[in-house]
Parts: sequence; C-alpha cells; structure tokens
Amino acid sequence: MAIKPKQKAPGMSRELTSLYLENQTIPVSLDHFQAKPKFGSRAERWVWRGFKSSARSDDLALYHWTKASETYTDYFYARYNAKTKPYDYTDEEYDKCIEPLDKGWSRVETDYLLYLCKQFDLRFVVIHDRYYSHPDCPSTGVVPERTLEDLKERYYAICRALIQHRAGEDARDPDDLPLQATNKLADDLALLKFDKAKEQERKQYLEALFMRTKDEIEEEEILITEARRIEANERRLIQEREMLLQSHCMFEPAPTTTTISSIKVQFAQASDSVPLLQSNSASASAGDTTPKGRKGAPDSSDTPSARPMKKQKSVHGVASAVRTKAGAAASKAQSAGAQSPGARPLGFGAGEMAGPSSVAASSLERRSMSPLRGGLFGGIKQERSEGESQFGAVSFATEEHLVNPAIVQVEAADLGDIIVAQRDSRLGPGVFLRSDKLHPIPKNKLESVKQFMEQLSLNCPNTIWPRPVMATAAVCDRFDSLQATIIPLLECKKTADKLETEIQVLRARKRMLVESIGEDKTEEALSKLPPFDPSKVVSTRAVTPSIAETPVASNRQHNRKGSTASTRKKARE
Amino acid sequence: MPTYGGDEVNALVIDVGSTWTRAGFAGEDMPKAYFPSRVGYIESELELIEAADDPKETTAADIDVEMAESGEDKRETPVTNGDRRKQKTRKYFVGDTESATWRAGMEIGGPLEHGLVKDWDIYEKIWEYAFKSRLRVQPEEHPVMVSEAAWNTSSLRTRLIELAFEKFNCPAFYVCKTPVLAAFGTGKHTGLVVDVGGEMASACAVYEGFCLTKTVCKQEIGGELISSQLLEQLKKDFDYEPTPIFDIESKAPVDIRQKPVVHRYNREGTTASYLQEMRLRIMQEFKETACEVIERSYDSNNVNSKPLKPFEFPDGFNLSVGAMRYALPEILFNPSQFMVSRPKQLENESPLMGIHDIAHKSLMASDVDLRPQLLNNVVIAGGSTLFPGFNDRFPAMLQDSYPGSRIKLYAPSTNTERKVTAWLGGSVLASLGTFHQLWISRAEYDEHGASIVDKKCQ
Repeated sequence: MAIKPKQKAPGMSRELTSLYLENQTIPVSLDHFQAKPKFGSRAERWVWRGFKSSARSDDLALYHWTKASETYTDYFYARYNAKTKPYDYTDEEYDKCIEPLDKGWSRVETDYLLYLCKQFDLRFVVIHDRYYSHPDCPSTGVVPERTLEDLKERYYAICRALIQHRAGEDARDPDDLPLQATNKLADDLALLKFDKAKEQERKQYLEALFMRTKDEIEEEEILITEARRIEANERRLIQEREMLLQSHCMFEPAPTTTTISSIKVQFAQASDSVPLLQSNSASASAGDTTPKGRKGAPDSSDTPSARPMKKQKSVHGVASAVRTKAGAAASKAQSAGAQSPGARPLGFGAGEMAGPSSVAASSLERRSMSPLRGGLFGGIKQERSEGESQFGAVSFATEEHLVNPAIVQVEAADLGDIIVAQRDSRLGPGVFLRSDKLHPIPKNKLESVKQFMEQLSLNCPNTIWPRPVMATAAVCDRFDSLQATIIPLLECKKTADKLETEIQVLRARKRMLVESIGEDKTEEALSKLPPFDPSKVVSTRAVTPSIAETPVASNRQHNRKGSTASTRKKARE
Repeated sequence: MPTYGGDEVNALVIDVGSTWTRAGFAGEDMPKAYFPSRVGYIESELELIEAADDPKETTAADIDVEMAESGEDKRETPVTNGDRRKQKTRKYFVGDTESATWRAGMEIGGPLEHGLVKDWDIYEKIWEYAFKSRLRVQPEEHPVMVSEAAWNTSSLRTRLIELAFEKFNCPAFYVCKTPVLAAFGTGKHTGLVVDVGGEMASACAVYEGFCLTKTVCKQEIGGELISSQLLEQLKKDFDYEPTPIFDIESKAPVDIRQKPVVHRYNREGTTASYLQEMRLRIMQEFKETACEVIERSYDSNNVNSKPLKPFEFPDGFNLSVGAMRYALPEILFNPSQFMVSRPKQLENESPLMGIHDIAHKSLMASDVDLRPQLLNNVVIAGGSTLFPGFNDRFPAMLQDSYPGSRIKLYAPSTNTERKVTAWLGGSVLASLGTFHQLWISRAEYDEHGASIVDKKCQ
C-alpha cells in the first residue's frame, strides 16, 4: 500500500515526508498480523486420566493424557502381553513318561527348569545364564554345571515325551485320525528333536571357526580363490571340449566301415610331459650319443621294416600322412629295441607302444639302455636316409605328438602281435569316448530327435547331441539302433504332415470349384485330368524300411498307417 | 490411539553414575538435570539435646529452598559420652555450583564405589536434589525408573526399592541394568555393551533385553583414573600441581612451561578431598580440550609427529601438549604400560586389562552362537569413550582379536547423547506402552516385600 506524498503519512513527521521527492511513493507495510488464528474445528479436549491394564495382576493406576472423547474398556497395550506357553505336565504324566527319561534329573530341578522356561519365554541363553543365580533356584536338588545343551536336551525330551504320551492317550484309533492331525504330530516331534552330541559338535566347529587367526583366514581365502579359479578353468575346458566335439562331428564325413578282423585297434597314450623331455634329451645327447646310434643302426636296418597298411583319409590330410610315416619310423625303432639285447618289455609302454615319443620316453627313463636308444636313432637315421621326411626326425616326432598322439595303422602280419592300430576316421586322433562312435545326427534333425528322446524319457547328459548316460557297448548299440529308427520315423512324419496339408488345400480348392461351377462339371473336369501315378507320391515308403522292426517305433505305427492312408486318399482325388 | 508404541505416564528416570547424575522425564530426548554425583558435605558433631526436628518437614514445606540449606541429615551414632548421646550431623551440598563452592571443612564424596552404592545418604540426597530442586516434582506422583550396575547385589537392590517406596513414596518403581538401558538407548535389544564411565570400565552381553550376568566383566579404569594419572604426570614432568580457581587471588602471565606466578588465598579449612576434586575438574577440562586416542596402535614416533595443542591452566601455567595427550588416554587400552603409577584400587588387580580385553573376556564368556550377533552390535557408552579417535581405535583392536568376524559399532552420534546413553534407554523404556505392566507397584511392594525386586526386575 502506498500513500501519495502530498498527503501527510500518519505517524511521520512533515520534515521526513518532505525529504521525499514530489512523486515518490512511500512504502509502508501494513500490519497483517492476526492475533488469534482461526481453526476449522473446535479443539479436542484432552484429560489427564488414570488407567488400569489387564496385563497387570494388581490394580496399579497410572496416569496419562487421553482425548476426552476416547474411552477404552482395557488398556490399549494390554493386548501385546503375549506369553509363550511352554509344555507343562501333571504329576501323573511326570511319573509315567518323564520320570524314566533321564535319571540325572530330579523332579525339583525339572520343575525349576520349566519355571524358568516360562519366566524367560524359552530364551535358553538367558535361562542358562540365570540357572544358578535366579532367586527362585531351589537350594537342593539342582545338579551343578549344567550346560546350555543339557537344559535344551531335557526340555525337548520332556516335550517329545509329553506329545507322544498325549497322542497315545487319545482314545481314537490313530488310523481314524485325520491326516492333518497325524502330520502335525510328526511335525511336532520332528521340530522338538534335539541331538545334544550334534549340537556340541556344531559348537565346537563354530568355536574353531571363531578362533581362527589372521594367517589362517588369509590362507583360507587364497585357497578359495584358487579353487574358484580351478573350477572356472574346468568349466571352460569342458565347454571348449564340447564345442570342439560339436564342430568336429559336423565336418566329419560319413564313417568308413573297415573290417577289423585281424587288426587290433589300439591307441597310444603317451604322457604329456614326455615330448618336451624327449626333445631336451635328444638335443642334449645329440652329439655324444650319435656313435651309439650308429652302432645300433645296423640292427634296426636288419629288421623287416614296418610299412603303412593304409593311409588314413581325414581332413588333416597332411598330418595323417606324416603320422603314418612317424608310425613307420617308430615301429622300426620299436622292433630294433625289442631285438637288441638288454631290452626288456616295459610294462605299459615300450613293448606295445606305437608312438615314437613313448619309445623315446622309455629311453629317457633308462639312459643305460643304449641299444634301445640306438634303435631309435637308428630308425630316425634310416628315415632320413630314405628322404621321406622333410623335418628333423626328433623335432618332428615331438611336434607330431603335440598335435596328435600317435595313431598308427600297421600291418599286423609283419610284426606279429606288436602294434596294430585301426580306428574310425570320424573319431579323430587321441582318446575318445565310446559314445563318440555313435552315428551323428544330422544337424537339422538334432532338435526334433532330442525332443523325441525326451518323450521317451531318455535323459541325455550332454547338451549338444544326445548320448547315453552309461555308454557300454550294448547300450551304444541299442542307442544307435534307436537313433537309426527315430530319424527315418521323423522323416516319415514330416512327409505325412506335408501331404496332409496338401490334401486339405486340394480339398478346399475342390470345394470352391464345386461352389462356382457345380458338382457335375467339376467331376467332369476332374476326369479329364491325367491319370494318377502313385509312384510319384508315395516316395515316403522307401524312407521307412525299418520302422516296423523296432519296438520303440511300434507305437508310432498307427501314425504311419494314418499317413499312408491319407496319401492314398490324395491319390484318389 | 498412538501408533508408535509410546504412552507417557510422566515417569521419572534417574541414572546415578559415579561422576555424573542424569535425571529427567521419560519420553524426553535429554535429561532435564545433569549434574555431578560428587557432593560436598560438612560433618559436625552436635550434642543431642532433644529429638531433632525432622529435616523432611522442612523440605516438604519449602521445596524451593536450595537443598544446600535444608539438606541436613542426622546420623545417630552409638557414641556415648557419659550419659549424653552425641549425634553426627552432615550438611550436604549437592549440585554443580553447590559442591564446587569453597566452604571451610567441606569434604567431597561420591555415592558409588566400584559401581555399587556405598553411601546411601549421599545417594538419597542426590535423588532428593534431582527430583525436588531440579525437576521440581513430587516423587509421590510419578513412577520412578532407576539404573543399576550390571553387577549389583541383591541386598543393594532391596535397599534401593526401600528407598523408593519408603522414603520417596513412589507409586511405582522399576530398576534396570545400565547395559540394557544403554543398548535400548542405541536402539538395540541385543549387543555387546562396552561402557567406559568415570570410575569403571565394563563390558556385558545383552540378549533380547536381558543382561547376561555371566558375561559381565569390569575393571576400575575410567575417566577419573586418567585424570589423576594426568595430575601425576604433570607433577613428574614439570613438578607442577595446578592451583584451582577457588584458591587464586591473582595471577600473572608466564612463559611457556614456566612456574606459574600466582597469589593464593591459602584459605583455612580446605580439605584434601575438595582440593583433589577441584584439580580433577581442571583435568577434566584438559582431557576434553587436548586428549585424543591415536587411531592405530600406539607408536611413539607417530605420536611425536602429531601437532601440539596449547593449554593454559587456571593459574597461568601453560604448555603445548605433545605426546602426553595421546599417552594418557592410552591407559584405556594398555593400562600397565601407560600408567604413571598404580593407584590403590588397582593394586590387587593383575594383570590389568585394556577395555578391548574386557570386551574380549565378556565375549568369550557368552555362548558361541551369540558371538557373531554381539560383535555385529557393539554398543559404546560412557563419557570416557568421547576421546576423538576412540571410535576408530576400539573396533580396530577388537578386529585384531577376531579377524574373521564382522564388527559393527553403535554409539550415539552426538557427544551429549553418549554421556547420557543409559538414561536415554531408560527414557525410551519407561515411556513404552507395553512397559507399564512391568512396574513394581506400591501394592505389590506391600504384599511381597522388598524381595519382589529380584523377581520382577531381571
């Protein structure tokens, strides 16, 4: 609010007013203060009122402020006076079922224990704490030095005995009782079970855990991280292996069947550390052992050389070629070693081992067996002289081993019972699982085959393609035949479905035709079509030659019949 | 009806500590009265002429009169001198200013010893002063909640309830253990309560509102010990004994570490206990101003590199405090090494424990199942925990003992709250709606006698 300067502002002297310019307004604040605030409703009356609580045994009246309008029958907070009800027994019950439980507990002490349970609402920690210092502790009859477990055991034993006793007293036949009641009884008994020895043991462990020193904890942490790392590595390894297997299966051509009548399939498994050692020893001893090698050379040249029986066909063409050469060299060396004096059968390895590195390993183990080593080097030397190998023999052998453990195919007749190796080329080199020998499932059928197997409730352990859990030879055989049945069956089903839809489409078209031109004309038009040739349609039969033979597929026969029937129907149309 | 669980019945809460007393109304966040527990008294021997006028009458009639004037107590002593009976009279001076004012022949005494009530007269005077002079209420109209030490004895509790019902005529009464209240004051029902007060340092496990008596562990190292050790340290290092303000007539400024130039009153009748008390008050100020706890373990090189703190005593003596301000509070953690001289009350204790040792001992006495929970709820209470750095140092010391456990410290954030933690817990407890069923009523006391306190207050 402003007041014109010409007027004299109230409460202001004329001199002060004249200080302002003619047109200037003087700011004057008006007093908006309201001495008495207005409230919407009337103030509630509060009274200082006494109250009594039902939670108290006496009639103590305490006072508090309450709204005058509010009235309560009982104190508001009395409702929170919740008490636990520990089990209690009668004299009769005590004599009958509690007395014989534990002779170490007297009636007085048991009563006292239950009293404390009630007093402290089953807080056993507190009960144990006050057990001997409580003002109501009986002066006699309390066994000193009860542990927390003792008290708990006693209490729970009493509870169990009482429950069982009361359930037994129940006049009704236990079979007549509702299931809920019997369940509840069992639940109660299970809940109240207390194993003192277990509990003590648990506490001992806890104590030990609690008292660990700093060093122990650090060590433990290191171990845990290490274990985690190992586990992660293992997982990664398994994953990678599966990936490899998968990709390998995909690129592998159809298995070539070989007759394995006179040939033993063997694969050499040399320990991983061997190649490096071998190369070391070879390079180290290259100089001084050469004479010995030369000495041994004639022996090996005398022996009939092993020659490759069959070149392996594989994607690793070169490697496989190299491998056979290595095999040849090795077998030469082997035979040399076998014939040289002082050489004796070497348990697992040398006698039957096909890989050159394994022979070398045995030579490494027995440095004194110069003839054997000589044999090896002799073999190598021979190999060189033959000019078959482009690499240095030693390093070649090492490399070869690193890539693929030696797998050799040798003609058995020449070497007697020594080495024969033959394997399914699909499996690749190295150790393989028997289940790997199962025929692979075409990639596009994989999902449906898996589904089918699930329906047969066959649980397969791996995720990439189904394999039996326990891959014994018999199981693998069955599994293979099952697969061989499932795949054509699925084919069949697919074709049948396809034909079914086709029939439906044709029928619909026919219906439309009938609607538009009438039935007679349609028949007429249809009769003009070229006669139906069944051989064009029912090609599916050729795909399902073996279905009827397998028991697994028998339940699907009905389907098959259905589908063939529908094919026939289509043919008619 | 209230939704937060509180229901106030205007209960009074009083927590008498060895150095400070807190009293106030339940439901409030600060005690209305906070004054020293040490009171002054002048003892005189009078010949009994007739039945003395009841001091109670005077107090009841004229409440507004200072306690100092009316606080007379007559002790009848069986001293017979001829056929005349003699009476020992004590005049009490309670309250901050009253007890600090110099009076000829005034002694200073505290109500507690070893955390337990020793002088019931002083204890009663403190109650009277708190209720009548400070809170200005009639105790007959209010339920009273009292704190007690965790190791209180049954006979002392009996006397306490008698005091409440016989002397003060309370309508209802409850006594609760200090650690439980301290835990409640920090909002915990379970925890390891470490209380470092003026006289005692104690630790005790509290489980769901119950103090576990077997875990109570205590020792007489507290704030007052540090103060008296500080006095001795000053005497040893600078041959200096501070002159309290009551004795200073005039003083002149002096250089650092120079003998103070002070003109004393040399008042006659100054008692030794009064002088000591006044010196301790100076030390109290010194502690609050200068002393700190070093965050990591004590290392003299580390301590010497810390900044100095200037401090001037009332008589003009001044110094820059260096290592001393760290070394003395270190008594709390390593008493045997840092104590200047062993005080009388600790002569028989061996070996002396630091407060972390006390906490450790208490923890090991508790059930192994409970320990992780306790360590997760370590409650710190008491004025002597207010040294800066204490909150970092103490858990670090504990962590050294239990490297595998998670330790969490709970302490009221403000200094004032930490001084009154136990009172605060009492205030919370006595204003809970569900608590009112627990009060011991007058009727119950009349029916069962004093022994009811052991039954109802566990």
